[in-house]
Amino acid sequence: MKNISPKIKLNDLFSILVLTLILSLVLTFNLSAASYSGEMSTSLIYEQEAERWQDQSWLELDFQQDLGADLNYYLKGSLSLDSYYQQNQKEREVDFELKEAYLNYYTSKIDWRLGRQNFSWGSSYNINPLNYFNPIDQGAIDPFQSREAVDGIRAAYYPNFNWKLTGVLTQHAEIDELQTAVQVIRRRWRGYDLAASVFSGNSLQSVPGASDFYPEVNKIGFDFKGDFSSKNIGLFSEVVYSDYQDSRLESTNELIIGLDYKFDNNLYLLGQYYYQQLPPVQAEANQLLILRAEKPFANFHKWELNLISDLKEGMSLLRPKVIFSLNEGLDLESGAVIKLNQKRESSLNRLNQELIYLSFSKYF
Amino acid sequence: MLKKITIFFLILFFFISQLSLAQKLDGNQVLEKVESSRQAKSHKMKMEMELYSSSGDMRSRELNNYRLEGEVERSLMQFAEPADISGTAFLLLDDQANNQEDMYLYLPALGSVRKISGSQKNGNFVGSDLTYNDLSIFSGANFRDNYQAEMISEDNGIIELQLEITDPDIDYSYGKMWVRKDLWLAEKIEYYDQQEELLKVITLSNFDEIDGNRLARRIEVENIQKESRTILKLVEVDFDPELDPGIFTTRYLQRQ
Repeated sequence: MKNISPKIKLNDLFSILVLTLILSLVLTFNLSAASYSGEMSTSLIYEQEAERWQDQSWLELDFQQDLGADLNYYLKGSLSLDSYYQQNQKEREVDFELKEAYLNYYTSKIDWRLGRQNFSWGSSYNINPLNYFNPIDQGAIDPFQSREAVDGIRAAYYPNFNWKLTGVLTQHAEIDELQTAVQVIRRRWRGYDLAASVFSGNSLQSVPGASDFYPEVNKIGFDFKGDFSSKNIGLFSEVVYSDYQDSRLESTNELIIGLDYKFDNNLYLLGQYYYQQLPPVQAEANQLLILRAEKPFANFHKWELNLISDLKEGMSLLRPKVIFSLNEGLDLESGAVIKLNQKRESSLNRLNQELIYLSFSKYF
Repeated sequence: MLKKITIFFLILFFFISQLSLAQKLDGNQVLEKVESSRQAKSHKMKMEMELYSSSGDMRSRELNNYRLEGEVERSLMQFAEPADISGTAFLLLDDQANNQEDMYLYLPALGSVRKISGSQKNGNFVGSDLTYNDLSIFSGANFRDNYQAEMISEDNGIIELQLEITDPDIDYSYGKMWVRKDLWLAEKIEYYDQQEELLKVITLSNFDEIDGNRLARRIEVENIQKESRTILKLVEVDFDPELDPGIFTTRYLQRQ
C-alpha cells in the first residue's frame, strides 16, 4: 500500500516564507515593536519499561513582530538536549525545531495565516477527531497535549461577529500530499457554538497494521459546545464521518461526547467518552473514557489527575501530576504515567511508556 | 422684614425636607446611590493584582480590562504579566435580555479561542481571593441585580447595610456593606459563607473621582478562613473611551 506522490509541494513555499521572515527580522528589527517570551525547562525522567533514565532539557522561544497594523509574524523555536542513560551506556541528542513560523495578514473581513501552524478545531478535550491536520506528538510526555505543526495557508472570513468561515490548505504531516478543508462556525446560538467542516486529503494516522499508509479520505465533521441546566454544566461533542477512497477500507464514524464543571471550591472535573471505528473491516472499534480532575491548593500550586480507560481491552493510563509554584514564573512539576491492567493489544499500551518525572520550568 | 422671614422659612423648609428625604432612604435606595456613583457606559482599566498566601508568599498579575455596556454587556480581560499567563484573555458576553452568557478563553499556548462553560465563573479568579462577582465591584457592578439591601444603622456618615443575595450564582449566604455618605461608595464589604461564618472582608480605599465617576483605586480582599489576601490596584483608568465593539469578539482574541 503506497500513497501517490505529490503534484504540488508546499515546502518551496514554506522556504520562501521563512526567508522572508528572516529578511523582515533583519531589516525591521530596530523599527517596529517586537515581543518575545519563552520557557526554559529541564526534566529528569525514568522510563520503567526500558529501565533507563532520560535527561530532557529545552529552551523554547516565542518571537512576534508587527510589520504594520495589519501584518505581523510569529516564530516559535525549540532547542532541546536529550540524554539517555542505560546500563553504563549514554546517548545524547541535540535538536533544533522550528515549531511554528507564520505570517498573519488582516483585512477588514478576512484573516490570513501563512506558514507552519497549529489548528485547534474541535471542542473536546485533547482528543480531537476534527483536527484533520496536526498529529499528536508521540515524543511528548503527554502526547495528547502536544501536536506537531504543519505547513499551510489558512483564510478565516468573518461576515459578522457570530459567523466564521475558514478555508485551509496544508501539507500532510507525514507524506507529500495536499490537504484541504473548510469549516463554518456559528457562535452564540442559544448559548451554543456550532461548527461543521468538510475535509479532503489523507488520514492523519496510518492504518492499523499498515504503517506509512495514509489512505485518501473525505470527512464530514460536526461539533458543538455550550452549557445546560441552571448550574451551567459544560456540554460538548464532536462527530466525524470518514469516507475512505480505497475500496479495501470501510467508512468509519467517530464520536466524542463530554461534560465539564468547575465547583465553587475550584475543583474542575471533565469526563468524555470517545467511540472510534477503524477502517480495516476486521478491526474492532475503540472506546475510550477520559476523566480529568484538577484543583489548586495552598494558593499557588495545583494538582491534576488524568485517566484514560480503554473500555474494549480494560486497560487504563493514569497520569497524576503536581505543579508547585516555587517563585514568580518558576515551577517544579512532578508526575507519572501509570499503566493499569496492561494489555498488549490496547492502543493505550503503544501511546505511552510507564514513567515518573521531575521537571523545573522557568518562564520569561 | 416679612420677606426676610419668608426666605428664612423657605430655606429652613428646604433643609428639613432634604434631611427627611435622606432619612427616608431605604437599603435599596442606598444601593442605587452607590451604583449612580459610576455613570460611565464603558471603561478601559489597567490593574495590578497582588496575591498573598497565608505564609506571606506573593505572586503578582497585571491585567487590562475593557468593558462596554449595551444590549449585550461586553467585558474583555487580558493578562500582561507574569510570563506564564501573559497573553491569556477572557471574553464575557452577557445578554441579559435573553438570559444568555457566553465566555471565551484565549490561551497563547494553544493559539486559539475556546468557548468555556459558564461554571468557570465559579471559584476564584486566576488564583486570587476574588470571585468573578467580587471583581465586578471594581467594574461598577449593578448591585441591585445581585442583592436586596436593608438599612441596619447610620452613624458618623456611614450607612451599614445587610445584603440579601438574590443572584443564585453568588455563593454567599449574606453580606454586609458599609457605605460612605459623602461619596456614596462602599468602603467595606463582608461576605458570610453558607454556614454563616465570616468568609471575606473587602476593604476599599484611595477613593478618586474621574470624569464624574467615583471609584476606589485600591481593593483589598482578605479571606478570613484561608488567611490569604489579594490586593487589587487600579493603575490607569479611562471612562467612556471610544471602544470598538469589534474588540469584544473571538476574532480579536485570536489576533492577540
